[in-house]
Amino acid sequence: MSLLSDYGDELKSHLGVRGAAATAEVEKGAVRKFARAIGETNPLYFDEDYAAGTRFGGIITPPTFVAALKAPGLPPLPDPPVRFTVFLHTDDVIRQFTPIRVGDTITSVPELSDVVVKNGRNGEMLFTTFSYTMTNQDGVLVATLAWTEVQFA
Amino acid sequence: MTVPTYEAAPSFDEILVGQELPAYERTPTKAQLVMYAGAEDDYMPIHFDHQYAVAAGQPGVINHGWLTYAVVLQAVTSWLPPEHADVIATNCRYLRPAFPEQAILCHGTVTAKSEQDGARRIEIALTAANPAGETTTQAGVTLQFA
Repeated sequence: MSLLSDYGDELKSHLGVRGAAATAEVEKGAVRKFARAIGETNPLYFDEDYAAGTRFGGIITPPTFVAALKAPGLPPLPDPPVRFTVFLHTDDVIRQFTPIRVGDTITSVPELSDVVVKNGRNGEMLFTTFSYTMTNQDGVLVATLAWTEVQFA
Repeated sequence: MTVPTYEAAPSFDEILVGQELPAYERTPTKAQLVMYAGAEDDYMPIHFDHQYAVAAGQPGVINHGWLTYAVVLQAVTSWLPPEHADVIATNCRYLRPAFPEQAILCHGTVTAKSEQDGARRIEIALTAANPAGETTTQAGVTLQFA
């Protein structure tokens, strides 16, 4: 057994451990800035009058806006036994259950949801996935986001 | 701002499995990376600090993966916008870095269509390539018609 696979096993005993929740209001200006930054042109994200006339009845957020709503902290985990020199973001998965609207207050809770140690051309690599559940002010689950990163020495 | 007309969106019946989406191409600028960093609150220096990026082995700053993700999803939503169908699930895999001032060339194909309990859904598989023809990003999207 290697240091990294031992560490992977140790992390697996922390699956489901949650980090601090973060709550944020979805502000009109923040949605507009985000939409502009990703090059969106659909007035659904910018124009209140236009959005009011759609089936949504108001401005909603673009599909990847959940990135701006994820809690900044991670679950508390044991320190790695090696110094990782490479850190890469590899995968994201979003599920959207109901639109997120301007004026919503979204609470995001991070949790360690998957740990995999793989051997690759860079030696042993540690893949970790953090999943965020996002609920609105009514306690309704609006979206989940699973974020996977890989690290190796 | 140009206001596109979304009345031209395809209907569920018109969409065919195997159908290719219209070609979609965007070229993020370095300024856009800074805008994105502020909008998402992501201040990883590899996205704005040239010397940091070079020390990390890159030729220069790299795009936020999430910016490419957003662009790839626009290849879908510019064709079938939220006014007509909800984006209910997406996934994205980052295979290699993408760089500002380089085109993101998106290619999408309808891979599945289903109708169950009144829910009409389609699935789309996408790739994003750089100008050298290398795939930088793969994505999947599930839409449900309103």
